[in-house]
Amino acid sequence: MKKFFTVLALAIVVASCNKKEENKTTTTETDTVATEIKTDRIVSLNGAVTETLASLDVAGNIVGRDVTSTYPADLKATDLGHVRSITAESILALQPSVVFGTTKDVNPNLNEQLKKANIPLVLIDQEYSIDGSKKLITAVATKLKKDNYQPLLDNISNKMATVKTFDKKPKVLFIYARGAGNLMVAGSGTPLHSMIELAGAENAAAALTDFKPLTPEALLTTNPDVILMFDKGLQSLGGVDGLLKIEGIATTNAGKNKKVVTMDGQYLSGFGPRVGDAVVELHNKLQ
Amino acid sequence: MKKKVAVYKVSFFIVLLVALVTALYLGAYDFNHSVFEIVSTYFNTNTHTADSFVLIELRIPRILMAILTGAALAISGTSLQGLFKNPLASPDLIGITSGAVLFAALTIVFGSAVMHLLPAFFRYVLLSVMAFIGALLTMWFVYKMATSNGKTHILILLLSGVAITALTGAVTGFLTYISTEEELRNITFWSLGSLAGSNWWKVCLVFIVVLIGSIRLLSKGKILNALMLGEKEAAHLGFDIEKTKREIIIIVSLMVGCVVAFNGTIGFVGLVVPYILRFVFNSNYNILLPLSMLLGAVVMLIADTISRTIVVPAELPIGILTAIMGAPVFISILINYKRKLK
Amino acid sequence: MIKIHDLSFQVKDRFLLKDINLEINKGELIAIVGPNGAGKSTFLSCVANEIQYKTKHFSFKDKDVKSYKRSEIPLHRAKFSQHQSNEINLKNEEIVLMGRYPYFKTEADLSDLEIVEKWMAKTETSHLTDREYEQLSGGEKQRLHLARVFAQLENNIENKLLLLDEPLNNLDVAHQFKTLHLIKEFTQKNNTALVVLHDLNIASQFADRLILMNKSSIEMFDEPKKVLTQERISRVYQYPCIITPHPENQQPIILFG
Repeated sequence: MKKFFTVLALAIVVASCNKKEENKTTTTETDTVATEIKTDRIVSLNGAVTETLASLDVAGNIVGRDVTSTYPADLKATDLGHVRSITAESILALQPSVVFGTTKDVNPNLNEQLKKANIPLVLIDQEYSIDGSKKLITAVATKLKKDNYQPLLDNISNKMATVKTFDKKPKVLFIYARGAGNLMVAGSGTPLHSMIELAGAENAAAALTDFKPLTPEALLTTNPDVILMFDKGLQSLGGVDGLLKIEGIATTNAGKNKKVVTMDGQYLSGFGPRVGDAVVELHNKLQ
Repeated sequence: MKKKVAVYKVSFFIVLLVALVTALYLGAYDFNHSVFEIVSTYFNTNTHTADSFVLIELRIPRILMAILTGAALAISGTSLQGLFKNPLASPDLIGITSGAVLFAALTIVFGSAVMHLLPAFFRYVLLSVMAFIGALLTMWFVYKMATSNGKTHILILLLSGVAITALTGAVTGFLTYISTEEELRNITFWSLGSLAGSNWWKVCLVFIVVLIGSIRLLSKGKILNALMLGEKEAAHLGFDIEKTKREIIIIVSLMVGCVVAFNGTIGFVGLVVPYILRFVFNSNYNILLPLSMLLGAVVMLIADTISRTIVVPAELPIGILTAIMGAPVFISILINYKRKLK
Repeated sequence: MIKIHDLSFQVKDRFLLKDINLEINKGELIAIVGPNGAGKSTFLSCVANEIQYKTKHFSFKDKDVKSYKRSEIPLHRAKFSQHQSNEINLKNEEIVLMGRYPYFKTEADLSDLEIVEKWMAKTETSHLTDREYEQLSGGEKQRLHLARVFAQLENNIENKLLLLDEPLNNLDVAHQFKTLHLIKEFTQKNNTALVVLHDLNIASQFADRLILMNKSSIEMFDEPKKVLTQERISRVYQYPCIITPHPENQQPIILFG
């Protein structure tokens, strides 16, 4: 028995060490793609990219998407789940001709596995700004060799031009909620911060960086005029009534005036082609 | 007795083979040909098709990793239980796993400059070595705290484990929180584990470690039995107790460190597999050590196969499955323990 | 067979053993007796090399005791300890089989198994094979470990040494005497046994020579008749006693009180 295992063992070692690392050339941060990409079967691992693809009329070619790709709602693509926990196998099962993702979200293991499988992987550096959205749209369109993306950029610019300034800048606090036990606020450096500022308002939690847990003290010191949330977030708290039950909320200006604004998550923070529309809607809702 | 052992060995081996072949066919990706065809085509043409890539570069390494990881964790748990003379000693409970995770995370965060310069294999070696050091330091600390005069104070053992797990968990969590290193991934990877990143390099390295480690541990059957008489008594039978203790500590740290560095924390296997075997074979380490490797491999392979097929195309973290399989067994351990204390 | 010159053992500032000098011959059954705290178990532990003692000379079969290899000394010397583990999760035969561990690498062969059977029969523990070790009585556990220790020394080597620390505790009278006869059988084959005993009368009956220990050193080392005098025993044990000859074999019998 022992001998059998030893032989089997050695066979595995030899096999695995023979398979060795085909030379990996150094990769650039933004994309690692062969010269010719076929776009008949696209997997998109980012909501903004998916929206862009749909706006460029290739929605029908999308065979796989991640969980944030909620728009358009009638997309017929397999939901692959969270981009951070996607496996190469699930992607390969869809026989993709190209995979789109962001540099931040696609983990290096997955990156390597797709490279080894000779699947073109386009990684985009997503910036949460108007310029960033435009760059993303341009990058995606260029890869697809589509020239009709200018209208998308123009739409964003036009919408942004209509945003007037507030007479009095409202202080907006974005609260992320997944049930009353899981509450975070968006400080600077988050997509929500950028959206609030683009809409002409002030982020009440700008002193903090990134997402931080919500505390009653934070509510008191920031005293927002408006509370901004995702639709699903407010739902998970049981609506405005549930939100008001959270300690400290009722003492804020927003709480006293019941000034709560909600928007769809991907629409609000996706920074895709609809970013201009989202800023306008946010601005209007904050009046 | 000999027959019984042989029967179990053969049965486990058969189950392992069946599980292996089944696992080759199960997964998010459906093959267009049979496994045999795919493999022979690959070896004939030396180029990958989509089928052969998934099978040979993704699935087979993952299956092998599951087998090696299960065997390593199980035999490590068994050896620790012999060393501490207590059936509750297991890598996760006494904190070794957390120590390994901490050092792996630290390496990723602070060693990123060095890591990017190294070729893949050596990156993995560095990670394993650091995880080994983390596991070793933890083991040394726990051992010193919990034993005196060759007797284990089980309460101190478990509490040291709790303390270390809490501390390392906090630090690791903090690192994940502040680090932008993509490699650090999310905390679920470290706390619940995943074999999805398996590749041939990792398998090669883990294989070498597990081979060396298990050869050494499998020879410790007699001495672990003798330790049940007491350290002095065992010494009278001709065993070098101190040397053995050191060896077990080092080897367990090495195996657990390596496995955890690549796959994250996978709990319960080191506790539950030996426990189940004890029901049939008492604490006869001559029998427990080899059988635990087989049963551990089977359990891990089945758990991993389920984890990647049950919610296709997503994956259930493997730690959840081992917990589902292991928690009831753990509870029955506690019930039995309580009964004995009466 | 054993020659010890000037052995002592101390813990911090206290001497638990001092000025130990003696020579033990082949084939002797030596009993070690003395009041509590005299150093009997400590002395036995030193002979067994369990603790770090200081000595000018300690030879075992004319070789320095430290020159024996770790793996060879179990074939020459075995020790039965006073306190045995209460819980050993193994089958009883496996526990006795541990005495044969110095003799095989991975699998016990037939001769080892036969030796285990033989000694379980001799210690009257064969009927315990289907019982759980934890559920055995103190005496049954004791006899199991005696079987193990005897099995360990079952080989063709000449002049072996058996160390026993209070082997008769927990045994009923019949088993006590049966055990003593086993030890006597052992020494009659030119082997040596050093036995720590509490019962002076048993010591008197069975020992060739007696080591009387008192306050960390050897009070006297000689034949029972010479060691067991009324004055000496009363003084060492700090309790009055009467010594009278055994009606059948004339060995001294001690009656305290």
